[in-house]
Order: sequence, then C-alpha cells, then structure tokens
Amino acid sequence: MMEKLTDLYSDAYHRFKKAIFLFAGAIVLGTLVFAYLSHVQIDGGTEQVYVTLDVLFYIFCGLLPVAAAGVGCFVYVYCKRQKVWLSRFRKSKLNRRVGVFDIVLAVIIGLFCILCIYPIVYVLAGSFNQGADYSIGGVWILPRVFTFENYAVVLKDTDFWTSYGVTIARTVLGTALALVFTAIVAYAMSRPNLKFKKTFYAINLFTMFFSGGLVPYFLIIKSVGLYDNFLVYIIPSLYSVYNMIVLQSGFASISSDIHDAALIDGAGEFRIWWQIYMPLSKPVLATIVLWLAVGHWNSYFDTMIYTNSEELQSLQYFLLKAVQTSSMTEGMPPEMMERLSSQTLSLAAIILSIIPVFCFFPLIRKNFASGIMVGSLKG
Amino acid sequence: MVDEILTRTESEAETSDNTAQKGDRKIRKPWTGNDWVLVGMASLSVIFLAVFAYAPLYGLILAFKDGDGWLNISQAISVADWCEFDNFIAFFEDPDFWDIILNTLGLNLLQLLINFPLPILFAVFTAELMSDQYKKFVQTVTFFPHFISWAVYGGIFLSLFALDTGLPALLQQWGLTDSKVDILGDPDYFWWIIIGTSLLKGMGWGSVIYVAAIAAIPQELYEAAKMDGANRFHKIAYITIPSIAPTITLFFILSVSGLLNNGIEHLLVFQNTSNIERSEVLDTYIYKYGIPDFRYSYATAIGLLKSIVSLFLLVSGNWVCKKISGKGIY
Amino acid sequence: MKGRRLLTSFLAAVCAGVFVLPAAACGGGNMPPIGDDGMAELTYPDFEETPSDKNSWEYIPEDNDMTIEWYVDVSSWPIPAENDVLRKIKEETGISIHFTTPVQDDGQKLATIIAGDDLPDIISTMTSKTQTLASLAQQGYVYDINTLAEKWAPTLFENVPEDVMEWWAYGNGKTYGIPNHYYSYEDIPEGEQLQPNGGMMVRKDLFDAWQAHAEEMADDSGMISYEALDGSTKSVEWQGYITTPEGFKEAASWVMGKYYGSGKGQITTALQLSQFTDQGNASLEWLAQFFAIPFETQDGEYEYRFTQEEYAGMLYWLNDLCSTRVGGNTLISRDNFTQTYDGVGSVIAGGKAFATLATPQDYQMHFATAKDDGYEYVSMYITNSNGDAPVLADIRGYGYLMNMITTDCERPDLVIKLFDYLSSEEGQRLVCFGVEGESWNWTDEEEPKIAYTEDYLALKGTQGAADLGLMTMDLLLNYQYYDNVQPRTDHGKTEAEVFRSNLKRPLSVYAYDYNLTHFVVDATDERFQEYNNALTRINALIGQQTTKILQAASRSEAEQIYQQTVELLEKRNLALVIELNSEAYRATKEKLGITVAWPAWQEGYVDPLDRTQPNGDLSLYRTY
Repeated sequence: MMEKLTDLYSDAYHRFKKAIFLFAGAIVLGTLVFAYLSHVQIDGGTEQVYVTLDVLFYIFCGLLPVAAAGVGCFVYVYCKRQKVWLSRFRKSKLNRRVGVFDIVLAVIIGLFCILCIYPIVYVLAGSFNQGADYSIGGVWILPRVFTFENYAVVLKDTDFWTSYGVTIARTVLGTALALVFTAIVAYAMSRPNLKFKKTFYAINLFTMFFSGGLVPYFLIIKSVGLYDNFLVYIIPSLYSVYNMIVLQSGFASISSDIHDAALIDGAGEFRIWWQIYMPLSKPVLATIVLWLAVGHWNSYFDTMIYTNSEELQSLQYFLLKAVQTSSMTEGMPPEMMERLSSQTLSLAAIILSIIPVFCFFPLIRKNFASGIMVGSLKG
Repeated sequence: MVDEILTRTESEAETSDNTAQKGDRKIRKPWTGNDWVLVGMASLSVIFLAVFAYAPLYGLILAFKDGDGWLNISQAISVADWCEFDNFIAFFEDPDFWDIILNTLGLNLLQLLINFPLPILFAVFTAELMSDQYKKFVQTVTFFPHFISWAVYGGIFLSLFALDTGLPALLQQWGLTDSKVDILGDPDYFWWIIIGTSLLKGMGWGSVIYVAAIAAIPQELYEAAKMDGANRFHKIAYITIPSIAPTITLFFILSVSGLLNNGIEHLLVFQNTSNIERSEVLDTYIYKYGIPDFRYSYATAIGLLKSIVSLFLLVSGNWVCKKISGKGIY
Repeated sequence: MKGRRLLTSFLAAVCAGVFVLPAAACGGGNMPPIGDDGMAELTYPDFEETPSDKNSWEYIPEDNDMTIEWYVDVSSWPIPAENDVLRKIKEETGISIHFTTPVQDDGQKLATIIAGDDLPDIISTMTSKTQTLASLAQQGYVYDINTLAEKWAPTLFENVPEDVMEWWAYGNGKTYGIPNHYYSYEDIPEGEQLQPNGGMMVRKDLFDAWQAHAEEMADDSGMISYEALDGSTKSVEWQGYITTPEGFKEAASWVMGKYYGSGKGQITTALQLSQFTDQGNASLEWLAQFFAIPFETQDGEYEYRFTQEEYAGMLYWLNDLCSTRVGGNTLISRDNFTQTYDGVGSVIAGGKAFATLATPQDYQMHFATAKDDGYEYVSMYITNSNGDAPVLADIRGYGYLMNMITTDCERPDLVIKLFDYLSSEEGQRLVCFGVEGESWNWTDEEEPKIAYTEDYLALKGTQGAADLGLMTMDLLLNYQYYDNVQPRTDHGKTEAEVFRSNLKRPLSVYAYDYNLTHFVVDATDERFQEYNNALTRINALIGQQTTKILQAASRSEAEQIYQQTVELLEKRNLALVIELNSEAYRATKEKLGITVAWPAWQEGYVDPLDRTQPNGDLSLYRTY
C-alpha cells in the first residue's frame, strides 16, 4: 500500500518536473531568440517586422519571472522531498564518491564537446546570414544580417523532395540488404571449420588493395545493366571486405560451445547464423549499420557517375548541385557572375541534410550496450 | 605478389587447421551438408568480388601501356603500345618523387601514432563518465563534425588561422609571439594542422567502434574487481583495455595497410603553394596530374605501386601482430 | 574430393566471368582511322543537304519532336529550369534540350562518358582546356562545324562571325566547335575600345587622402621629383606620382602607416593580390601588362614570360613590397600567400586593402558589398619605372565555353540548324532578352534598339522573372551583339549592377588586342603529350617558386631563388615548351597576317599615357 502511494507521488512529481522544465526552457529560449532577433539587422526587414519582434521580445521578458517562479517552486518541492539534496551530487548510482578525477574528466570532455558543437553553430549562423554580407567574413556565432532566403532557395525546388525520397529509400534498402549480405559471408568466414578458408581470405583481402580504376569499374556497372538504374545504389554497395572483417571478428568472439550445442540440436549452419549469431551480435551489427547508413546518406559520387536521370538524384548530389551553381570559379566571364550568389546556400544545405541523421542515431546507440564483443581475432 | 600471399596463407592454413580441427587433414573426411552451406555462404563474396572487384582489374594493364593522352580508356587499353615500366620510371624520375614519398609516409606514420590511439583513449574515458545522460550527450555531440564536409570544416580553420584577422594577429597582440606565426603558409606546420584537424573532426566518429566494444563488456567483471578493491585505473588497465584489445589489434592492422592513403579532400583544403613541399602526397599528386591531364597510364601506374606497398604493409602488419599477440586477421 | 572438384569448377566459371565481362564492356574500343591532317577521319550521316535560300532552321520539318542531351563540363554552370526561352526554342526547332553538368570539376564524369560510349549530342567544355578540346577533335569524338554547316546549315557562316570560326580552326582549317561569350571584331562598333580583362582597383577615400598629401609634396610647377629604381632622378605630375612603382610604394607605406589596423575602415594590406594557386597568380599577369612587358621579342618571335628580364624585375619589385615593413607589417600582407578565393574576397568586401590587383570581375560581388559599407573602390593604373604606358589585354577573348556536336549525335543535321538558329540575330535576341513581345520589343529608334516591356521591368529581380529565361541559355552567346543592342535607358538594372559593370571601364584606354598570346598549340604534333606533361609541371613549379621569390627576405635572396628556378625549369624541359609555343605563335601570326603583334610597337601607336588621370578615363563610365 505504501509503495503504491510513493509510486503515485513520484509519478506526479516527475510530471510536474517535466512540465516545469519544459515551460521554463521554452521561455528562456524564446527570450534569447527574440532578444537576438529584435537587435539584429534583418535582410529585407520592414518596420513592421522589427516592431513585431520587439513586441514578442517584451512578451517573453514578461514571462521570464513566471518561469523563474515555476522553477523556484520546483526547487522548494525538490528540497523538501530529498531532504539532504546535496548528497545527490556526491554519489552516483554505484555509490561511488565523486572524486577530483571525475570532475576534471567531465570538464575536459565537455571542452572537447564544445569544440565539436562549434562547427554546427558556425554553419547554422552562416546558413541564416545574408550571402553578400557573409563574404566580409567574421560571422562566427550569430548571423549578422538575418535571412531565411538560403533555406527558401534550397527548399522550394521539387527536385529536393524527390532526392530526399531517393536517399531515404536507398539508405533503408541499401543498409538492410548490405547488412544481411555481409553478415552471411562474415559468418562463414568466422567459422574455423570453413573449407578453403585461406583461399577465401586471399580472394577477399586482395581486393582491398587492388582496383582497376574508375573507368573500368564504370564499364562493368554499365555492362551488367546497372547504369541509370536505382539498383546501382544498392547492389555495388552490398558487400565490403572491410565491414566483413569487422563483422566476422564479432561472430568469432561468440563461444564455440553455443555453436556446437546448436549443431547437436540439429540446427543447420544457416539457422545458427540467423537465429543465434545475429541476435547475439547486436553491437557490431549496430556499428556496421551506422557506417553503412551514413555512407549511403552522404554519397553523391555514384549519382554523378552512374546515373543520368533526374528521378535518381540523391540528396547529397542535389545539395552539392545547388551549392555548385551558386559558387564560382575564378576566370568566369563577368556577365556570368551576375547570376551567381553566395556560399551561405551550402551551409543551409548541410543543416538540411544532417537533421534526419541525428533523429536516427539514438535508435542505433540503443543496441551498443547489449550482446557481445566486437573484434575478436582468430588465434 | 599474389603468389606470395597465396603461398603465405597456404602455409598458415596448415598451422591453423591443425589447431582448429586436429588430424582433420589426414583423414579427409567427406564434406557434410554444413560444409556445403558454409562454402556457399562464403562463395557469395567471391561472386560479388568477381564482378565488382576482379573484373575491373583489367584496367591495370594501362600501367604498362603508353596510354597517356587517350580520351577513351578502353581504346587506350586495347590499342596503345606496350611500354613496359616507362610509367613507373617516369614517376621515380620526377624531381618531387622523394618529397612525395617522405610526406606520404611521414604524415601517415604520425597519424598512426597519434590519431589511432586517441579515439581509443577517448572511448575508454568517456565510459568512465559518471552520468549516463552526459555520456549519451558526449557520444552524440562528438559525431557532429563528421557530417560537415572538409571544405566547410576546413574553412573555419582557414579563417581562424588567417594571419591578419585570426589567431596569429591576436597572439601577437597579446605578446605571446614576437611576430605573427604563419600557421597556414609555413611547411613545418602542415602535418600538425592535418593531425590536429583530423583529430577534432574524426575522434568522436572514430571512437564509435570502441564505444560499442566497451558497452559490451559485462558489468559483472567490474563489480567483481571492485570487490577485490581495484581502483578506477586498475579497472581500465586490467578489464577495459584487455577486453577491447582484439578490436584494437584488428583496427591497427587495417590502419597499417592504409598507410599510403590520405583523405584528399582534407589535404587540398589546407594545401597551398607556400607549404606544397610538405603537403604534396601520393593521392594529391595523382589527383592533380592524373585524370585532368588524361594521364591515365601514369595515374594507374602510381596507383598500382601504392596497392603493392599497401598489401605488403598489411601482410607484414598482420605478421608482426601474430608474433606479438598470437592473433591476426587471418 | 568431389567437393573440391565442384568448387574448382565453380571458381573456374567465376574466373571466366571475370574475363568475359571486361571483353563485353570493352566492345567499343575501336578507333576511327587517322587522316593525313592528323585528325580522325569522320563519316557523316546521309541526310539530304540543305539549300541556302532561307534560314537553315526553317527547313526543320514541322513535326520534328526530339530531345537532345547537352553536357556542359563545368560544375558551376547553372542548368536553366524550364522557361519561356527554352519553350520558344522547342517551338521554333522542335528540339527540347536536356542539360547535364558534373558536380566536381575533376574530369571524372567526362572520362566515364567517353569510355562508356555514352556521348551526349553536344559537349561544352571550357575553352581554356585546350588539350581536351584538341583531343576530342583529333580522336574523332566531335564533328567539324565547317562540314556540318556546308551540308545542312549554310546560313551559319553568316551568323557566326568569321573571325571567331577562324580563331578556333586547327591546322587542317576546320573548326570543331562554336564558343560562347565571344566578342567579335565584326561586331565591335567603330572607335570603341573594349574593357581590359584585368585591372587595378584602389579604395577611393584612402586614395583621395594620399592625393591631398601628394599635392602638398609637389613643387611650384606641380611636379614631384623622386629617385627612380635605376638610381636616376625623375619627376612626374603630382597626380600621377602614385602611378609610378616608386610612388606607389611611397603611397602604400604612407597609407599603411596611417590606416593599418583591424578596426572598421582600417586596412591590413596595401596591395592585395589574387589567390596563389599551383597554376600561378592572375595578378602577376595583370601587373606584367601594366608594366608593359612585351609578349614577343623585337624581331617578332615568341617570348616566354617567366624568363624575361623585365618580368624578373617586376617580381623583385613585388618582393620589395612584401619585405618592406611599416610598423612591423609588410606592405603586401603575408596572409595573401595562403588565402583562398573566399579569403581574398573577404579582404575586398571588408575594404581591408588599399589597392588590389585581383581580377575585378571575379570579385565584383565583393566590391559591391564594400561599396554598400562605404568603401568604394575605383580603378587605377600603374606603369613601369621607365614610364611606358600600360598595355592591357582587352576582354575580346574567343569565348569561355566551346560547344561541340559529337559523333554520337543521331541528327547532326538538325543540331547544327539549332546552332545556326541560336547564333542568328533572332536567336541571340531570344537568348539575351527573352521572347519578343513578352519581355522586350524592337524599336525603330536609332539607339537603343531593344526596349524592355513594362511587364519585364516590374518582374525583374523577382521569382517571376526566372520563367522569362533571359540570359539563361548563354551557351552560344555573342556578347558584343548583346552589348550593342541592349537598352540604355529603362534598362532595369540596379545601381549595384551598373557599378559592377563599370568597375574597370576607365582603364579601357589602355586595353588592346592580346589574343595572340592565347595561341592554340597543335595537338596533332607527336611531341604534344610530352609538351603537355612538361607544361603542367612547369606551371606548378612556377606557382611554387613565385611565392618563394616574393617572400624572400632580401633582394639578393630573391635573385638567388629566381636563378635556381630558371635552372629547375630547364631541367623540366622548358626548351620543349618554348619550342612548341614558338611554332604555334608563328603559325597563328601567319594565319592572322600580323607581323608586329605587340601593340606598342605597331605602326600608328599613340602613347595614351595621361599622368593627370591616375584612375584612367573616368568619362567612360556608363549609366547602363
């Protein structure tokens, strides 16, 4: 009975906590955004726009005390609930004391994180900055002349949405099929009882180093009928020796006992692979999925070389194209230059292309912590 | 070269087969159904590689032909005259040959020494963070730079290191340097720029495989160690590192074999006429003087040289690892 | 054992596949026979020839409906969206065009197109890629325009200026493509001088401040005496002191002393040069022209730039600017040597350079931005120490992109008619100004002849104008024609556009025909491949060494590096490059019937130098 009550209490408490923080966060964020927007020069901004922004800024300023009161309220409840709330900071789940080392480590890694986030801030700032003004340089954190035009130019094209579809399709299909294909091979290669194992390895490793060059490869693509075909995104990337080696090392680290036990139960190799080894190898598989998916997402080269029709444009290709036609090369005739704008477009394009990646990443990481080891090598 | 590997792997096959299935070779048991299944599974790779990797290899013929200047490579392959090793000799005789080799090897060895271990340390220490939420945050945020192309990412550093408006001017203003340090123009700094920027951009992404490996270490091991009174560094040294050692070895061997490869996009951003003597590597050289000038034969010859050396590096890297740790890729 | 045998046969089958596939892929590897002229012998399809009694495109059958592939080998060429101009072309010729461009300029797309026997109907390549152009023609990938036009578009010879056709002809007298953005002798109105290709710009407020200072320095007669580079004493009108190398250095030092800094309106460099690439630096070529360094010897032979004594002198002068320090800062900032295009642009856009030799049209956006922020740049000239007038190259180049009809084109008879149509007056008006009656009307007044419609002027600068398609199909553009008939009032141009088009116009008085320096080396020569390999490496070496010479700590060090460079160049087969260049130079002179090519040595040359107008002739500014 008591437990139930605490649960209920704790449930309400958590909902309260969530609501308060969401509300306060939104208010603070809004205030900051409008504090910035009401003071920055807006490209093509009219008097009306500036007035509206000022008004919004004041509204949010007015809401700030409300948010502060909410947070204060929460802190009060929190203190009451925890009684000795300071102890929270000292102990972690494992009841370890927080030492100097932990703090130093957290700070150093935090600094590194800032270095990693900064480029995104830089790109974001540029993507909202007006092109001509950007060329002076010195846009480091916030846009100087604010505009949505860069995004408008990239987004208004219908080809943009087609290419988005193509890229999503190829990423999903390509990753799934490549994963299965590579895993089948990797499983066989990881088995000590594979016949001709050395020959198979020699055949595989050789190709990691020797390639016939772009043009002969292109001719092969053409002669097997993949040219200007959606499958050109899927089939040639079905298999990579590098991924196979990583995957087989994961499979090899699974104890042979499991394999032998299954064998005695009458399971065939194929079934052992699919029903035992695959589920046990989630972290490696997750890593490979991440590599494959990001590879598919970022690729443009195959679109450029192996396709010709607009319906097959991939997203990165489209974005690169949008950027290229707005960039320029030295030595163009003067008349040409008048039609070209600036580098800010490319920054908007980058932002648009990485948003989905970070929506999808948490799904991958969930699998890291389950299952078994990557990277056992053959003895 | 091919023969060498084959014989090498053949002899290794014997030793490993002996350990795996004792006495198997002498009796020559008939193949079971499962053997067929396994061979079938592995053969998928052979079919794939036959089409997409081995078939295009005929292009290598070009390295021994006088095919420069032909627009159509197929024609160059079938019609151009044989010229034996002229293309290779032309490269050896290039006045910049030794500089290019020095730069390629020097830059890559430095990367192997610095950029290979640091992501591992990063993964190990991130795992030591106390808050799970912070850990997740770190592991996501450090991926960001991977998705920004070198042209843009490098551009940030180009403006940061600009002599008059960037860091060098500030350092001088603050009295930390006597004169403005020409970071971008001085050849001596080039390798360090490459090392530093690729660390910043690639450390998070490069650590993903180790993060996955560490995540898979059973927690019980740590709990048991704690019972024995191990402190944090003991745990890292005796549990974490040994547990991911196979992963490290695997990627070390793969990195060694990539010792001649450089990310061209990365180098070209920071390369300029002032630092060219330290910034020209094999890949940039082929990129600039190969296809744009229709020197297909020349480019193929240099690429072939690269392949041979890389293969040699893989084989010897694997050999060394086997000697030291008893394990290798094959 | 049975298993082994089966596996072996399986592997054998795979290996067979490995050898069969390439053979299949390689099928098209035959090449056309080479004729006596060193060019591939072409075969032409058997279509009925077109008479010349009316415009060739009027012979296109009414029901013609075809789509052609047009590949433009420049990543930054903007592919036009479906617009009125393209619809009109379809209506007139029955041809719809599908454009493609690569996304990278590394030549790989073109290589695969050619190797894959996947040629489009038309290829457009930059005219500066002479090797590509020549190889395409020589190896039989493109038709010659002369034969096509004779057979199926006789009127083309009237519509494409003869000098343009002639210019691009190879040794056999045939031309294999038609360029765009050309300025023909035939079209240039009498008495008009074209703008120069490069130019020097100076920040007006700082320039004025210096001029006020110079006026005080002048003696009673308005002259300033100074010690020239050769040690003699010279004097010059005070207005023109800055146009001498000695005076420019003094002005630069004065300005740097007063205005150096990173604050608003302050400068970081006195002279901004272009980006240094491994192909050299455009600014050096412009400066050589200002210094009037001739491109031929007194007896009319070709002269190689880098080994000229005057050119070395120019490098030493630049080295002086790079090593002279004012308050610890060099006159040419060392930053310049590592700047990218964007870096140079941000210096200009921020008004951070006193003067610049960077190609003005490449940075016109940046100049316009600087002007908006209150730092206006105006043109200026500079002379050599002797006081010879600048001899600048004018923009009359023969084109920027070369359009070629490939031998894979199924209906070259129709495509050449399309070329004819686009090159004709009717086609040019369509391409430049859009559809008649929609965006413009022809007026009977003397000048201008084109008048934009109210509709167009209202739409200009908005999304709606894109659909009208003006100037989007610029692949066969005759720019001088456009310039001649474009509206001069009600032109719809913004102030910034007018400013941009005027940037270097005052320097037109010093601009001359330089086309001879863009001679075409005969690609059919057996030494050509070797020549081309040597040339690439030589240019790269010069690019590297020039930065070293300019950055040398002292004049003697600069001289030493220069000497070294000349020796290295000789090792890289400079002799062969000079040999082939000289031959091509001689042949081009013969073709054009010129004996003396250097403008200042030609008969009737009038020295235009006017020291009292250091900005050039400002009355040449246009209002449109």
